[in-house]
Parts: sequence; C-alpha cells; structure tokens
Amino acid sequence: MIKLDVIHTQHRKMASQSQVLFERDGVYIHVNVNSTTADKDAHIPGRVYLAQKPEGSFIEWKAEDVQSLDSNQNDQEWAVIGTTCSVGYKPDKDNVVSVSSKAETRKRYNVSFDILDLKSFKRNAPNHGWAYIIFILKDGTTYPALHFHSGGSKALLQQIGKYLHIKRSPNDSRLFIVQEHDPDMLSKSFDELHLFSESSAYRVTKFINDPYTTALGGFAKVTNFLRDSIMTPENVTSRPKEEVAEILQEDIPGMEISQQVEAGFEVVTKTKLPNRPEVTRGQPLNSQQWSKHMDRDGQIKDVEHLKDVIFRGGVEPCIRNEVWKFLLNYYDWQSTYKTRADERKRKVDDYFRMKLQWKTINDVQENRFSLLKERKCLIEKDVTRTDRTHKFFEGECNPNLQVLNDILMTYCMYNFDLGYVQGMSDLLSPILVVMENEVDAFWCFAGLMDKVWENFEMDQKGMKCQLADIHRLMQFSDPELCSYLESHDSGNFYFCFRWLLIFFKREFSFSDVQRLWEVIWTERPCKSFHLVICLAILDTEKTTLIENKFGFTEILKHINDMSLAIHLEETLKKAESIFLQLKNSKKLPATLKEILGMELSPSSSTSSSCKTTPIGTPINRESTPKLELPFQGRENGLSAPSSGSGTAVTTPDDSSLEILTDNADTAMNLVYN
Amino acid sequence: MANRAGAQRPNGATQGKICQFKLVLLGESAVGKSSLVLRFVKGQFHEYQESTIGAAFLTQTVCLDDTTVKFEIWDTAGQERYHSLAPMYYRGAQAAIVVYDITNQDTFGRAKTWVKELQRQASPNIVIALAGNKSDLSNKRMVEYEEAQAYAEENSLLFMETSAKTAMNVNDIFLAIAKKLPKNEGGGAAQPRQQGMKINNSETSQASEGGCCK
Repeated sequence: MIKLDVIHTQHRKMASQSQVLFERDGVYIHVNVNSTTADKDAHIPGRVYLAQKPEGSFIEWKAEDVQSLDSNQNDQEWAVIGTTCSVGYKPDKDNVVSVSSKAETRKRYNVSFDILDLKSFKRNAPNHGWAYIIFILKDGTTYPALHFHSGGSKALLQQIGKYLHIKRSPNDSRLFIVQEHDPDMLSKSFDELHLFSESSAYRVTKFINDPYTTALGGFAKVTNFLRDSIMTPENVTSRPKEEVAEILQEDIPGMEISQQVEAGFEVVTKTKLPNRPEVTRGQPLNSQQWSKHMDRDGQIKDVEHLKDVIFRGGVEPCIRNEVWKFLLNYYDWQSTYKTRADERKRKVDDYFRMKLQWKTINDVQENRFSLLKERKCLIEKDVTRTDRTHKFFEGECNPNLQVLNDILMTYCMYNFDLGYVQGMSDLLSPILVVMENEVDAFWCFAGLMDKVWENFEMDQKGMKCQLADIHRLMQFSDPELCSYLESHDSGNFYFCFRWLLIFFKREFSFSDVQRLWEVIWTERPCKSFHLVICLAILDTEKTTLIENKFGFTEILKHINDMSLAIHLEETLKKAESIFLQLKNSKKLPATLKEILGMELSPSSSTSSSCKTTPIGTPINRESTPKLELPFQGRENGLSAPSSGSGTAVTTPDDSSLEILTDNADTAMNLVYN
Repeated sequence: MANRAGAQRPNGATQGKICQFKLVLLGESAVGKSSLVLRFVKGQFHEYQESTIGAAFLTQTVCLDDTTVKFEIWDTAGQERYHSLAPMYYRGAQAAIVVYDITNQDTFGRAKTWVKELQRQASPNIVIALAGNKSDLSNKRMVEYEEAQAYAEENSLLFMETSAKTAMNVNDIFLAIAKKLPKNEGGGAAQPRQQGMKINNSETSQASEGGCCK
C-alpha cells in the first residue's frame, strides 16, 4: 500500500498540522516584468508565508483572490488521507467551474516550495521603491519576482536564515547562494568532496587559459572549505546571524568577498575585449514622423534613417499595421501610393486563389490526400491553443481562430514543401493581431517566413546552424561562460531553441514581442542581431548559471522559467552594446563577422554595416554543424572535452589566442552610425 | 524546529532512500503530454495548454513507503518534425510515458511507433507506460480500452487511461512507474547529493544524471 501520494507543493491548503511561522501581505507578482503600472492586471496582490508542515518547511505565495476562494472551497480539491500528512488528489468537481477564470489564471502563479529545495535567491537593494526577491530552486525552477510593496523582505530572509547557510555572490551583490551543509561531508577526504566541482577537464582548460586565477581560485576553495568545516556543525547557531547580517547590509556591496573563489573572473574576461559602450534607446516612431517620411506620391524618403529610428525605439502601435508591411516586404520601400494599391489588389487576388485551392478539396478527395489531411489536423490542434489568453483569441468559437486557421492552411498551399510546422502559429498570431486583416496578415507572415523558413525545415538545419553560431560568438565574446556551458553538457546551446525558433515569442508579453520583432526586422545593427540578443540575455544570467552550478537540465529549466521576466529595453541595450564591443574588437574573426552579417571589407564605409546583406542569403560555412546531443561524445573540435581527457583544450577558431592580445584601448573608437 | 543538518524531510523520508529517475514523455502532438505533467507536478489543468516548443523540464517527488522517488521529467514537442531531437531526451531515461489520445486512432498508431523506437534504442531496462489520455472524452472514444490493454500486455507496458483534465489516474500512473523502477541495493541513510550509485549498470554514459539512488 502506498502511504503517501504525491508531495504536491502547489495550491495545497494550509493543512491543519501546518504552522505558519511568518506571513506578510502586500507581496505582489508582476505578471510581466516590462508591464507598466497602468496595467491593473499586471500586478497580482498576494501573501507570502513561511509554514512549518509535517513534510517540511515551505515558502509559499498565494494570490489574494485565490486565497479567499480556497477558504470557501475547503478540502474540495485536497483531502487529508492518512494521519501523517498524506494527501491525495480528488478529481475536479463541477463546482470548480464557479472559480472565475481570472482567479484560475492567478492561481498559476502560486508559489510553494520546500525550503530545502532552495538553491539561491536574488534580492535587489530596495533603495528605489520596494524590494523584490526571486527564488531559484536546485532543479533550476525560477519563480517570478515577489515584490514586497509594503516591506517585509528582510524579515522573510531573516527567517530563511534560520534554516539555511547563505552566502552572497562575489560577482553579483544581489545574488545569494545557499551553501550545502551535509553532516557527512566532514568525514570525507578532500577528493571525495569534489572541491573542484567543475569537471577536471574544464579546470584544466581554464588553468591553461588563465593559470593565475584558476590556481588562486582553487586555493580559495580550500580556504572556504576549511572555514566551513571548522564552523560546522558546532558553530551553526552563531552562523546564521552573521549571514543574515550580511544580507541586511545592502549598502555595503561586495563585502567579505576577497577570499571567494570566483572573484577574479569577470576582470579577466573584460581585459580581453574592448569595453562595452553605453548605448541609449529612443522613442518609438510616431505617426507624424512616419507621414513626414513620405513624399507626395507616398514614396518613403530616407529609408535608412527611418530604419534607424525603428531600431532605436520601435514603432507606435497605431502605425504598426502600416510600417510592418514594409519591414516584412509586403510593400517595397520604393513603392508609391499607386503601386501599393496595385500590389495590394494583386495580393488579395492571389491569396483567395490559394485559399480556394484547399477550400474546394472535399472529404473524399481529402481522404486520398493524406499529407494535406495531416497538416490540416496539425493546424487545427495548434490554432485552438495559440494565445488563447489574449483578448483577440479568447473565448469559445472566437472567429479570429478561424482566420488564424485559414491563413496557416493557405500558407500550406503557398509553400507546400515546407508545410505547417509547430511554432508557425506563434509567429502568425502577433502579426494577425496587428493587421486585423486576413490577407494582409497572410502576406506579412509569408514575408516573415521568407526570413526564417530554414528554422522549420525537416532536417532542422537552420536551427542547428544558429545554435552553433551562438556557440561561436560566445567563444569569442565570453569564453568563460562558454566553457562553463560546454563543461555542463550545454555546449549545444539547445536551451536557446525556443528563443530562436519563434523569435522570443514565448519569452515576452505580446506587446513586447511586437516591439522586439520590429527592432529585429530592421536588421540593424547587423543581420543576426537576434543571436546577439541571446548573448545579452545569457550575459545577464551568467552569474546565476555559474554560481548555482547549474547543469544541462537546470539551465534549460531556468531559461524556460525566465519567460516574461526579461527586461526588454535593458536587453536590447546590452545586445547592441555587445555588438559594438565585438565590432570594435580588432581581432574579430572573419567567421564571426560573417555570422553577424557584417560587411567583411574593413575599409568600407562604417555606417550601418550590414544593411546590404540580402535576405535569406545562406551563410557559407564549412559544414552544417551537427546538433550535438548532450549525453554523447562530441564530434567537432568546438565543443567541450569530455571529462577525463585532461589534455584537451578548447580552442575556438583561433580566436582565443587573439583575444588575449587584444586590449581595451580599442574601446575608444565606438561611435556607430 | 529548524533542522540545519542537511536534506532531511521531516516526514521520515530521510530514513529511507532517495532515488532519482529520469522520465520522458513521448507521443503525437496535442495528446496531452504537457497537461499530464502539469497536473502531476502542479495539480493544474489549462484547457488551452500551449504547444511545447523545444522541451520542458520539471521535477516532482513522490513517496513510496520508505523511499522518496524524485522524477526528473522531460516533456517533449510532439510533432514529427522534431522527432530527431527525441533521442536527446530518452537517452539515459529510466522511464517513459508514451501518450495517445483515446479520441484519435492515429495517435495510438504513433504511440506504438514510439514504443518500438524505445524498445530498440532506449536503455534496455527502461520502464515504459502507455497512457490513453483524454479519458473524460469517452463519448468521442476511437481507441478501445481493450485494444490498448492487449497491446500493452503484449509489450509488457504499464497501461492506464488517464485524464489530465479530471486528474483521473494521473498520479497513479506516475506512482505505478515509481513502484516498478528498481530501487537499488544502496538503502540506509541518505547519501550526499552529488554522489550516487548507478542503478542501471548498463548505463555507461557519464552524463546519465538520473537513475541514482542518493
């Protein structure tokens, strides 16, 4: 007989056995990190708890609405089965329907975890406004930030400090890592303790690249270990207070970090490349500017400047519908009112011609046309679950779903060789919302697909190529993070798959995705700017990934969980800044220039270097790299040496040697455009 | 009150073993793979669960008598186009749930193909469960229970009809898998987290993260 069913951590009632040790209300989850305060639904109020339960100490956050609903529906979902904390799940009852959909949505955000699963947390200094805390678990789970609008974050952390031994990261003053305390550890030799928890090959690689820091880092680990050993377990009672004190002294950054192992790493990286220049973002293109850019015939003047403005600030929503048609090659930039009217007419006719092709296939025919039937099924399945929480698509029998379906079916006829592939509905949906017109949305979508069709090919060539490209770029831009990822089964960058396949569609809110896409579609400052955006996000997460010692699964989970928690404008700034850093590096290898879509000739004029790269031009590289499986031996020289082969050294192209000789002086000549 | 001595769960689980298993979900698109995981891990159900792009990773812990079983669950994209990525997920997995939709005969055919592939290519001792999902829609049933059960018996698969929507048999199928998985010789006190003994000796891959009793 199974005693205990699933240890459910989500939306369980505070069982009668549980004791609330700490609670605080006025703790909000901001649904979208980029949302404005004007959006009422963007901030969900709730209450945070620290509760002692039979099965452990839990930190929980519950949305306020759900809270009150829960108390009404006491024990309808959860029932205590045994005496020891056993819980079982009862099927949903019909009356669950009475839960409003809003409460249902809010419930998704509920947080609950065993304090022993906590790996680290990030806390901002509440100098400006309130404090927030982001909890990260050992399996990589990353919860949305809890914003303590009425204070209380310190008090919660003080409570946590009673349970866990916490250290502030030497590289990021907001990051606090839970230190493992294993009583068995004292009885083990240094070797068994995995003092060098990174694989030995990684350590060797690092040693060759940077013997000084690595060696000192290694020694520092011994120091830390001794310090920890001496203080454990006898001194445990005195320790937490110190650690909490450390947390609370938020105005003294970087304290007590001199003996920490990773202290020197950042510096090493920075000496290799020019500095990252400061960049600023601008205002979105507005309708006055847009109309000023058209002459009497409607022809766009100064296209390059216009694209610069769009890159810098995007487009105001009210003119997206027009501007996107140019960005997505629906209209030619050279077109006039007259030619556009003709073009549109042609497109309308053409669309309905193609739509008729599949519309007129009857059931009998369809039964002998299995390929089309298959695609029809696939499209139906995906349409019903694409962005259904967005106003435009919500509700049963929403007519816009039929439009989404018809466009995708027609695209099947337009490009039968490619067909329909999962992910396409995600690309179409924001376009349809902007266009609000079937024909226009179709042709804009087709224009977008012209840019990205390779991602959807059967052999996944486009995806593999891009993942390998990110790898190459990072080998140059951030060898430290790159070798960390390589030595943690993540050198294939597979965790970026979703980002690339659907252009960050699932990572940002609808309106942010629209902003991001129009910026990317300007193909500024280079054609492959989306790859640099990947680098920028990973750069922001670098300390978290490395100091939590995340491996393949945790990295993927952490990255997936960052959905709606990425700051768009900050990321765009950082990405441009990284791009300029690379561009200003005298040693940037030709292969990377090619990947980025920069002009290869260094003597050519510097302004907006990559606008001339034609769309869809395949980048010639020796061979399509194989998408490496994480648990397989590596095949090409780019990837990490498998642990054990201690002599292997990661040498990217030949760039790593060049990096070392590069110096920061080049950072002066930064102005771009 | 606060126990600082290590990874002890006060329900007594630490007295027993902690086992960690890698489990992968496979099956045709839109049969309910992600919904099953979401129900199992978070107790939630979303009527319009979005399609999985790439893969998702989740963990959930269940207790079986004195053993704590931690599932590391890989939820994959179902479309045939992404088939080539599947080996990355089932490699080194100790368990798989192959899911089909009882209202769609084609998805059952596809499930059989997955089973075949796992039998041929995955770890030889992998525990495979067949889940006939969407059992709440039995009025639209296209795959008979008996048919699937017979197939499962022939192939030594665990079999249950499930409903992520009503939660029927969802925890049960995971628990049945947990019961069937080998819990290893290394009982007694919990071992340090970073170290583990491999349950399955045929696993030679250095990176078979799961499968360790800890």
